Order: sequence, then structure tokens, then C-alpha cells
Amino acid sequence: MSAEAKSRQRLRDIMLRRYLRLGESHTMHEVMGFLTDKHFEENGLPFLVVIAEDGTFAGILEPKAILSSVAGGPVDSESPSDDGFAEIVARNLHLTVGQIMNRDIPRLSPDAFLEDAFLCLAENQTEVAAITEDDRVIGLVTARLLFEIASTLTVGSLTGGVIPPSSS
Amino acid sequence: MDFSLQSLTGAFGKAGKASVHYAGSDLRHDALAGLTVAVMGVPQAMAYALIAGLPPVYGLYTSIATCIVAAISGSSNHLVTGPTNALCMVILSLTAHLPEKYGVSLIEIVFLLTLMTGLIQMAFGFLKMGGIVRYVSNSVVVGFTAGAGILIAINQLKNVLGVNLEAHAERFYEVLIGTIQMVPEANWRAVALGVGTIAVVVILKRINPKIPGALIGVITAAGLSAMLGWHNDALGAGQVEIVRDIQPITGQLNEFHIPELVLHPNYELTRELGAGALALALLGLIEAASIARAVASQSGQRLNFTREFIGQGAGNVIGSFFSCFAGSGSFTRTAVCYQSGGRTRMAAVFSAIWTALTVILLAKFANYIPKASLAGLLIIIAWSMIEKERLKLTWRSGANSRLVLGGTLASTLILPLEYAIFVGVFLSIVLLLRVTGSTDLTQLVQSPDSGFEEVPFNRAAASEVVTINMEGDLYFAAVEDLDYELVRCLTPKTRVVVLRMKRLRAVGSTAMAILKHYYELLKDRDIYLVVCGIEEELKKVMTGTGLRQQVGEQNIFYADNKLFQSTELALARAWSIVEMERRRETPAEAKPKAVPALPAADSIMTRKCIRFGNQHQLREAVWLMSEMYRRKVTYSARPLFLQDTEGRLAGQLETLSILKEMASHIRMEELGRPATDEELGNRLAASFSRRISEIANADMPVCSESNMLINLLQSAEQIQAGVMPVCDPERRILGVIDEGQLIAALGNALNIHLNLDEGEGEDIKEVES
Repeated sequence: MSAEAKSRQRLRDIMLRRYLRLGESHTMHEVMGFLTDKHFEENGLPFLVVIAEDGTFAGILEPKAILSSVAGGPVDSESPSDDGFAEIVARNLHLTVGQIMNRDIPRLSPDAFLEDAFLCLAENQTEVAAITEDDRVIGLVTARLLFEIASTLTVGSLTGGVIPPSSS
Repeated sequence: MDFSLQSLTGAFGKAGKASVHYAGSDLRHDALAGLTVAVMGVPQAMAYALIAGLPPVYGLYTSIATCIVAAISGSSNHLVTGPTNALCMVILSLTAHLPEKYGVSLIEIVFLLTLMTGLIQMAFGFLKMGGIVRYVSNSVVVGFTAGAGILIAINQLKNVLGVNLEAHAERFYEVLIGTIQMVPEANWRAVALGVGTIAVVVILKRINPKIPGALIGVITAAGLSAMLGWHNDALGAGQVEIVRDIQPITGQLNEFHIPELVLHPNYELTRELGAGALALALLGLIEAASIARAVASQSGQRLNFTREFIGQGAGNVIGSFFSCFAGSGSFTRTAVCYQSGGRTRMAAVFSAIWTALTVILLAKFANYIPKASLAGLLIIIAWSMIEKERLKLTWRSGANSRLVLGGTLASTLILPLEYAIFVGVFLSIVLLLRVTGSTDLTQLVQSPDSGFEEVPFNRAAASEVVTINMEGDLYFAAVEDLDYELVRCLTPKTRVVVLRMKRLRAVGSTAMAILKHYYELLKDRDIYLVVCGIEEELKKVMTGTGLRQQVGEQNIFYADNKLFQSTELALARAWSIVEMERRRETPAEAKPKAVPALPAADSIMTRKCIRFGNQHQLREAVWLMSEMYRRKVTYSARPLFLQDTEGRLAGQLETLSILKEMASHIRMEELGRPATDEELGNRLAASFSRRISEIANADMPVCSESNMLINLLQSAEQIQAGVMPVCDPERRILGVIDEGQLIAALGNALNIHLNLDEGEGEDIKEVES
């Protein structure tokens, strides 16, 4: 490998490997029950990667979709009662992940370069792209991850204080 | 330093070149100016020799040989070199007691002293030490000159009275007391001639300053004395001493004469004269440089002080072989030369030629000048040396100037004169170090309009973040107790100290040790240290001493060309630390135990939220967000909320918008291959100068603290970047609510929990591929 090639990072090197895996058949009740764990309150929600039954990548369940599907039913008045609202939510909790997830997630190869990821997220106006290999998800590239890489790559242009992420 | 023959040949070469190009039209002007200088200077030169305790003829010799050499080899077009009152006073102080001690004639000691003085001056010139005169302040010169004036006047009183002091009195008060005691024995003829000369000079000067009062005064006195026969030995004690009685002027010009002490060195005497020669050399150079500079400021000539130093030194070295004593630039003769129309250095040469003619042609008459008359002339000169206006000005220029002035003046009167100069210089340098040897501390307080107000140290209101502005020098003398001084501004409320170190100079290892100790003191109090305005030089010192690593790179902000940029970033960092600490310190039981059935925004939101001015550039925002992300382990890309100058929400800067902006400079087709990381970094940074207000989203849903969960969920559909700001009625951000918090709030409110026994959610898991 040439020195020039070495100075180019591939997505395999930087991708986010940790995420929450769930199936299309899981209900909103299950998902919300899982997400109310204190662990997520403290650390924020992870990306919810939906895996099809055959193990291939199916899509991403976005928090916004959870909220809109669970609470976004037909509410008649501007100040609905607590009971009425609870009824709507209870009804929606039976919705499945497959019904509301976003299947239109861009995919990238683990051998793609950083600039591919930057352009991909910018063009698709999405916060996440899946890194897939043989149609199976092996990682994610997220807006936050790319932002951190961008700040590291431009460290010379920043006014001090920016430290490259630790290797850990 | 350049010590070479080249500089010597250069110095003299330029003089030679100047003479080659001497224009005929300048001749008349220079000759006339020279004549005027000589008319005024001849009696002055004879009188100055008296100050040095030497026969008047040596004053004339110094006005000839030293003047010619210094004029040709120096730099100034108008400086007239020769005997000066201050130098003569120092010569007297240095040499008067030596003939008795060493059994060598006074004049030979003076020649040796002159040679040594010239050599030192030339050495200063060749070593290009022209800048040394900067260390002699105006206060020193004014104080010394005034002191020398007092000494001259006191020393000449006895000559005006026509009496001789029995024992050699060294101290000025001894001379004064001795003279007063001799008043009853005063020679009334001498008094009449001395006072008469003073009267003539003063009156003529009042009538017309251009009239050569000194010349007329001494000629009148000489004429009267000769006519009345006051110089006759027959008068006994009533006889008036004239120049002839001291040493007759024979009408001979300077002859080449190798000083006896050069042919037969006396090393002990030479060593004893060493310090005095140095003082004399310094004083001579200061006089010459300051006078030449004063005239050059009017003539517009650009001076070369190195050459001037060499010229002064050469004048004295060569002069010592032609019966001259140490000379320097004379203010009065130089001023007369310039005002009389002198155009080139040849005017000074002409003044020497006219003086030489005086010696040759008028020696006979000059011998009749009464000593008392010359003494009267010197008392007038001494009075003019006490420059009342400059003394007043210096006195009013502050305590330091007063101290140097008073110290130099007092030491001139009390100590041997050569030490007075050193005392003055020493005082100047000590006070200079005292002024520079301090670090100015103030505190910065951020004002509502995002600017900074500077308040006196330890006067700012108590705050979690204390910002200290350090300016001045940080070398060893300046930092004593600085660490404890810096601690003074801490209050129980202080959580972070921001040290702004932008204008620090001369940072040394002692300062670093002190700052390290300060860091330890803060650490003991659980207070964080953030530093900003770090220049390259300071960065190196901090790195070398390990302070940089100790403080932590995340707490160091480097100086930029934009005023207060690094300070703003440091403050943002400081406040984020405060927020972090607050969050950590909040006891678990203080958190709401039970979320109400349908909670309101105030019980859901996080009050921790970094706000940023909307006038910043993208590069600053990128830095701040990267710091924000580094501190918070989340997966989502939280936006940065922007506020206007009044603290109102002005928009939010979303990560995706930033990435889109940065990615717009990626041009894959340009290279024909994927960019290297470095190339990519450069392109991503291309839009760093953009204002964030141009990229930010100003149209975002905003909720209030009282909004209920139902309303929040309705607004959630419009949420971009997963976070919704909670504001007060004036749109000031109180906190934020993200989607995760809404999901948790909803789940808790409706008691949605997994029934694990029934296998609910068993396949949902966090994985790491």
C-alpha cells in the first residue's frame, strides 16, 4: 500500500459499530419499554437498526417516527384530555417497527472513502448511512461521527483545543 | 558585534569623501560660523581649563586638536568638540589628588586619562554600542549637569574672591565652608573684576544675545587690570592673578608629545584611573550624542552614532598626543555654530583654526586676562547649567524621575563625580526594572453585548468563572508571589479560572514554576484552570516545562488575530465545565422521583445547553461543537443554539447543515482520485470563515416551560436535529428537550415497561459489530 493510500481513511476504519438491533416485528410497546431504561436517559438514544428476518439490513427506526406514530394520532382538540391522549397512545403501541421505520437509508461500502460519506449524507439530508457488506449491516456512518472526523481533519485550521479522538 | 578595520576605514573614509565633495559655496558660511564659535569659545575654553585645575592654554589646545579630529571623523555636521564644563569638573575630581600620591605631574596624568577615555570611546564605537546612551535617562543628565553646575560655581567662588584655600578641599561643602571662611581676606580688586565680568556678560546678553558678552567681558577686565597695574607683584596680597601667573601662553600651538605615562607606564595609577576613564568616556559620549541629536533634529541630518562615538574617541586619543585634555561636544559652541550658518563639519574645523590664530597672534594679550574674570565667566556658565525648566519638568514627571534626579544630583555633590554618573545609571536601570518587573493583573467581565469590561483586579463580582487578564513581563523578578496574588480573586463560588495571557513578555522558567504552583493551588480547591491568548513563544515554554500537558490541551486556547476570540472560546469552555459540575453535583434524590402522569416541559428538559453568539464564524462553532461532543457520549448530533446580543434565541446550528456546507467544497472530479485526508481536511475547512448566522436554521419549534407533554409531542414532528429548545416569553433559552427524553417521559407517564417474563423485547439488544 502506498503512503498516499495510507493517508486516506476508509469507512471501515471509522464507522460506528455500536447500535441497537431490532426486528421489523417488534411493537412500539416493546421499543418504548426498552428505551425507557435509565441507561438511555443518561447516554441518549442509540441508532435503532432494523434487521430483516433473513439478517439483511432493513432500515432505521428513527425516534421522530416513534413519537409521531405513538402520539400522533387523530387528536381532536388543541388541549386533549389526559385520558383521551392515553387511549390514542395505547392504540398506537401495537404498531410494529416494520410499519414505521425508514427503509430509505443510503448504503455505503466499508471500502468507500471519507469524502463519499460526506457527500452521501449531505446529498441525502440524512443523519445516518448504513455500511453494508453482502447486504448485511456491519456499521453506521452518522452525522456526528463525520463531524468529529471533520473537526479532527481540520484541526490545523481551528483555534487550538481540538484534540483528535482518542484511539479508544 | 562588528569589530573590524573595515568599520574604522569606513568611518574615516566617509569623512575623506565628504571633504573631497566640499562645495566652495559652503566655505564662506563655515568660515564665518567658525569665527563666531571661536570668539565665543576662546574665553570659555580658557575658563574650562581652570575648572579642571589646568593652565588655560590647555583649554585652547583642546579647542584646536580635539575639535579638528572629532569634526572630521565624527558624524554630525555641526557638533563642536572641545573642553566642556562637566567633563572638566570630572577631570578635576579624578586627578587633583594624584600628583601628590604618585609624584607625577598633573598634566601628564590628565593626558593619560584623556588617552584612556578616547580608547574606551572608540571601543564603544567599534563594538556598535551606540544604544548604550539609551540607558542614561534624561533625569540622570539633568541631575548631573545641575550638580556639576553647583560644584563649578562653588569652586570658582575662591577665584572671584582672589583667595587660595590652604588645604585641598575635596567635598563641595568643605570647599564652600573654606571659601566662606576666607571672605574677610578677599582681594577686592579680584572681586571687582570677577563681578564686573559677570555684570558685563549679563547686561550685554539682555541687550542683545548675539553680542559676544564673554569675550567683551574678559577683554574689558584684562584691559582694566593691565591699565591699573593690578597684576603687578608690588601690590603683594592685593595683586590680581592673571593667566600669565598660572602658565604663560607662549604663542605656540600644540606640539606632538607622547605622554610620559605612555612611555613609562605606571600600572597602579592606570588602574586607579580606569573607572574614572569609563565614567568620563560615558559622560562625554552622552553629551556628544545628545547635543548632536538635538541639533540634528533641527537640521534634519541623520546621525550615525557609531561613527560619532569613534569620532569622539579619535579626538581624545589623538588629542592626548597634542597636549589636550578630554573633551566632548559643547552645547553652547555647537548651537552657535548651527545658528551662525555653519553648513558642514568644516565650520568646527574653522573654529579650531581661528582659535589657533588667536593663540599665535593674541597670546601676549591673553596672558593679561585676570583669573577672577574667567571665574566670573564660569559662575555664569554654572548658573546656566542648572536648567531650571528641565529640572521642573523632570521633577513633575513622576516619583521615579524625581528619585533618579535627586539621587544623581545628591551623589554629584557628595560622591566623587565619576561615581555620580554610575549612581544615576544604576538608579535608572533599577527603576526601569521596577516598572517592567511587574505583571499587571485585571479582571475581565463579559458584558451583555458580548464585549468585555476590564475591572481592577479582585473587584469583579463573585462568579463561577473568574477571568484574569495578565499583561506585562513575566520574568523572574516580576512573578514573585504571583501565584498567591492570583488566588486572591477566588471566591467560594469560583469553579473555573480563565487566565488570559495574551500580552505577556519575557516568560521565564520561574514564571512557569509559579504558574504550575498556581495550577496546584487551584486543583486543591477543585477549581479548573483554562488559559487563553497563548502566543507561540509562550506555547513553547509551556510545552517545555510540562505545564501544557498538566493543564490539558482542551483547556488551552491559542491566540488568534481576532481580538478576544480565544477568550470567548475559553469562556465557553469554562461555562461548559461549570454546567458539567452542576450536573455532577446535583444529588440523585433531587431529580424528580416520579414523573407526573403527563408532565410539563420544565420537568422533562435538560437545563444544560451551550449557547453561542450568532456572529461567530463557522470555525469557532466547529471547534465548540467538537468540544461539546467530546464531553457528552451520545450518538445523535445535537445542534448548537445561537443567541443574539441580548441573549435571545436566534437559531440553531445543525450538524447536518454544517456537514452540507463543508461538503460543498469537495470536488471529487478535480483530482480524479479520492482525496487524501489532508486534502479532504483542507476542503472541509474552506468554508470556515462563513458566518454561522448564514447557515443556521432560524425557524425551529420553540416551547415554553409550561407546555404539557401532549403539546410537546405535537411539536416533536417539526423537530429537526432531534432537540427542541425551551424558552421563556422573551425567547431566552432555558433548556432543551430531545427526542429520547420525550420517549422516556411518555413511557414513564403511561407506565410502559417491558414484561420480560413474557419475552417482550428479548431480541432487542445493543450490539457491537
